[in-house]
Amino acid sequence: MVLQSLAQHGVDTVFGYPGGCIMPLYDALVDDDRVCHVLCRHEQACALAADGYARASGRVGVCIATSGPGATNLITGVANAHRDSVPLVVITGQTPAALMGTDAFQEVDVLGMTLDIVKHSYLVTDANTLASTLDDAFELAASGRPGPVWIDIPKDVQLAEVGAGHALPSITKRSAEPAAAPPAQIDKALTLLRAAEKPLLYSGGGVSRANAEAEFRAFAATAGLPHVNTLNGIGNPGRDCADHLGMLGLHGSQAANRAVHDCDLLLVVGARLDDRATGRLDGFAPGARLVHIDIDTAEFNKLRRSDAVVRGDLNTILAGLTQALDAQPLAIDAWRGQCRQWRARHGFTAPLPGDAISGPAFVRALSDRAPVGTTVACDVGQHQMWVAQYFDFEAPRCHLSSGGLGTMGYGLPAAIGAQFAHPQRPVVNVAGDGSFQMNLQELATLGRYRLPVRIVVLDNACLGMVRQQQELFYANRESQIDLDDNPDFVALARAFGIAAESIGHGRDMASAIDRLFAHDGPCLLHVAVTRADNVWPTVRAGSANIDMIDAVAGHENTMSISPAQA
Amino acid sequence: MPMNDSPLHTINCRMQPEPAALERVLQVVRKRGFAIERFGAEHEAGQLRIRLSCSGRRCPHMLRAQLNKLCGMESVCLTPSVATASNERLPGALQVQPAV
Repeated sequence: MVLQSLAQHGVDTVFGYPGGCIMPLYDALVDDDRVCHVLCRHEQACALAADGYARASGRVGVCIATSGPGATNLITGVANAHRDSVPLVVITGQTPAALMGTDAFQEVDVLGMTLDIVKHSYLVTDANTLASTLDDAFELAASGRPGPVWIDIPKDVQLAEVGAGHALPSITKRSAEPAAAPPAQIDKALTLLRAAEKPLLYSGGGVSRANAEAEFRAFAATAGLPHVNTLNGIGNPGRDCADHLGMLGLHGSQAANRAVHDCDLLLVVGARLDDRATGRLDGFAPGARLVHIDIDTAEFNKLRRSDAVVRGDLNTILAGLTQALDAQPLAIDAWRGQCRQWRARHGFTAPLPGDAISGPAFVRALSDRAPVGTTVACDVGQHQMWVAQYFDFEAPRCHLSSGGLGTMGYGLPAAIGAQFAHPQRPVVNVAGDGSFQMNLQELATLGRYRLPVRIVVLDNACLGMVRQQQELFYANRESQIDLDDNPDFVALARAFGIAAESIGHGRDMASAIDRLFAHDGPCLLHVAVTRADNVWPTVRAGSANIDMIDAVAGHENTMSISPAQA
Repeated sequence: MPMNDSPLHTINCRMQPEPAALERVLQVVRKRGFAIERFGAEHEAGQLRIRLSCSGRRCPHMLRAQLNKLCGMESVCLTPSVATASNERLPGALQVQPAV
């Protein structure tokens, strides 16, 4: 019944790992060719691959594991999806009902353990409710603010005969449409927007979660608003948008943070004003009114008081705003010009390639040479921020990054998921040497399915982001960050049947990147990068974003821009 | 330990009576920075009727919004109180003893 439900919901790919209490489902897989089961090599990777699949495709990702350690290994991946509002259906086997509560072999209280990392969860105790539970789970995962839904199915329930009246009905699409935003909310937002002299658009991951990229771009173009985005909002404006100032926040551009500081109205679209984006709250957009547009009421006024809120589907709200502004455009030319100047002077500038390879220079070269439509899945650390800063993305679904949870080891499984979602598109996993070793067992998955995922390991022989923090904020007292005994990554990849090469000189970057994209099949490029590279700019913990520390020797620079400079 | 100097809030919820419903409520209250001071629940007309009082310094409307997101939650009614946890009693409700 589970497989039938998956097929009815259009699921063609699932990521899983078998075990004792999920064996009935795996037995059914033997005779079922409707669903492609991808065998990962660790349950965490199953969940992360399902996450990457969902982000890249816009569909619900599905992962499967057994009870006990299978379920606990999923947890990090499911939490990752939850924090970034990614729709998943998670299916686990559970100890037979009669043994539940007896501390049976591989029994853990999945429902209790996962309360904080799911949108909802079910323990199915009656096989006759399994079909409706699966329907509800898919509906719930994808509707409203998306998220993971976990279904725990005891082994005896998997084996039970289902009464004729409880067989799967044909799927009738139930309405998942959120209520339309009240016109009064939209009118108030427009009134505030029209009254502003220096309005700024701030977008997040909610745009792609709502499949609202087209409406967003139409709105941004019509409004002519200068624009900043969060990590999960990267790609929202597309390439070559003259009013786009880049990512804001902890490692955002000076142009973006300056604009946020100086604006008099912040129009927040599909973002939750998280601490990495806002910095110290009382220094965040201190002179601005705030208009917040989101699907989730609970995000309004959570951290910063809004002057107006608009709750509903972004597509319809943005379409309404576009129509209104098309009829009566905003008059913000002076502010727009100011922001464009900041963009030109205070955007991200990668250093020119030298003898040694710097992370930013490599990522810029990768961006310049990547084919159109390339998807990049990052791990977590310095390389993740360099990708956010220096890779120019066409669309948010091309950028897969663990934003809310910050899960090291995300990149390779997510790239696998993305490659299954889009077999013909180039997919690159940009990893650090630390993160890569968190899930490198998935090289076996790449090898088995001959997935043409390109892996770039930016190897600085240390945990770079931690080293950077220790250098800047802990008197350079390095503690447990050395990875100078890393394995030979090229030999390691080859052991899994994956082509690999290594570079360490700037002159080799371009040709190595070209070979990476030309290769037919999975491949790995090991890049020895400078250990001392830091991610600039950055913000000291507890400081406001306007007090960023810039790239000039780590000296504090309050970003005060004199009238002459501006 | 109850947050004795924190404002006390009374919340009345109606939920669908599904497994872990009470745990979900309690987890949200704790995670969002509030301490349960009193708690009572009963089945009523096919629903779970929950009445709790909690203390905490954060905005109770944020807590109400988070509780309202729980699947199976039918309604959440918040009664803000100026009283503090140490001097208010809810007759008939289960008294939660502070951990020793």
